[in-house]
Amino acid sequence: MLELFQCSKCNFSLNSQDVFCNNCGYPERGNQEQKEIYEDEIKVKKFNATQADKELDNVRILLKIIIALTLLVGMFYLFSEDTFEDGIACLVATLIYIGCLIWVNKQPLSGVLAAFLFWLTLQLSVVFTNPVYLFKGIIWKILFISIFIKGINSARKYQKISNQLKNRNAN
Amino acid sequence: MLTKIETISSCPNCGSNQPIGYNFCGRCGQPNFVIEKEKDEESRRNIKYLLAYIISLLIMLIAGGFTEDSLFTAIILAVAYAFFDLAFASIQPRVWNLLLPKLIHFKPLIAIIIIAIVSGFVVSFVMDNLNYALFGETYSLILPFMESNNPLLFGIIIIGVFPAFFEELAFRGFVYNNLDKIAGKKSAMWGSTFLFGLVHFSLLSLIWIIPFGLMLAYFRNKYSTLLYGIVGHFTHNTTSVLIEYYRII
Repeated sequence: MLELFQCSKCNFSLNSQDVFCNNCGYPERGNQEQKEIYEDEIKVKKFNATQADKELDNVRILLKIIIALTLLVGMFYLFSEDTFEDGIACLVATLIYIGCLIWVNKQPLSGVLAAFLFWLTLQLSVVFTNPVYLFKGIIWKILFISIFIKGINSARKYQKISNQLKNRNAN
Repeated sequence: MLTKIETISSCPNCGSNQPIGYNFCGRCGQPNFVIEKEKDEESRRNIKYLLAYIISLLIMLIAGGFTEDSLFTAIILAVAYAFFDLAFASIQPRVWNLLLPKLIHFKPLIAIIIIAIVSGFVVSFVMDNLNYALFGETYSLILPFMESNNPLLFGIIIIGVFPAFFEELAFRGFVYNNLDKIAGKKSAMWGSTFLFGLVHFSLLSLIWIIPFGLMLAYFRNKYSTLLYGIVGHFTHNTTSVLIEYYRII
């Protein structure tokens, strides 16, 4: 008859032959050395997660710059009657970029994707009104796109490590 | 303990028997690389699906932008979007499970209908006034249908029925499911709503589309069915059409 007992880390039920927890990998019945290795592994993963999070700083800075510019242009537009509509649009866009920035801090992958998508849609809608705008500031656009794509990669890396930590019940 | 016998796999590291779907081997503590790899591949696949959907959506939006406002183009665009959403939904059979008329409860159904009618009135009133105050003009929903014999019928079908069914299928179905797998429920709710707002291609409208989309996503999440969302979306859109047609506000 198998005797059941619980993992002290995640309360998963284990049978008496197990040394490690099937769910979170904690060496419930292991020796001191195994427990230390486990804790060290988690420390390394947490360190890697903060490193991956740091890589996202580029995207954060880019978003802050975009927010400042959109807000500035929006304020400027608001003062002229001809461009009043564009001013309102800029203010709404600023709010959405701020939302994206908060999102990047909470859930990096979907936050960066949302910010990139929103930026892309806005660029498209501008090109829509006049195709010549596609080439206006093309170097900046390529730079922005590369920062966004690099950000998506860092966010994926972060997500992977954070999932591994979640598996080990140590998030 | 019959289930226990059926659910056994062996650890590639030490060869001991482990329950299927285990995260870590109980004997040697090695992570289950098969499961980890499967999860990683699944998330990669979901991102690919999502990007394919978003890129084709942008292409559709651009193509739609070059057409004129007329009854004919309105019908063509509605049908094109319907096929487009159907095509993506059929990649993932899981989406169709959300349409099964399992237990439809009376209370949430009434709740979403009331919310949708109220939001139809509030949005029509607020957006008309806001647009008028800011830009000096209001926008018409049913203008393209006025040239037909029966503008109300066309309005209800093309603005009420089509978006309610196909947009729910696409955003609360396909997009929500993929985002849920990639980044979790909360991101799925916000992300599907965000995309839902973007396709309407109007920045000012986001101030009502985002709360409205979140409400639909909430029902999708809570009851795991698209049916409430379809009813709510239909009621909201139809209310707006009726208000404009009968000039209630």
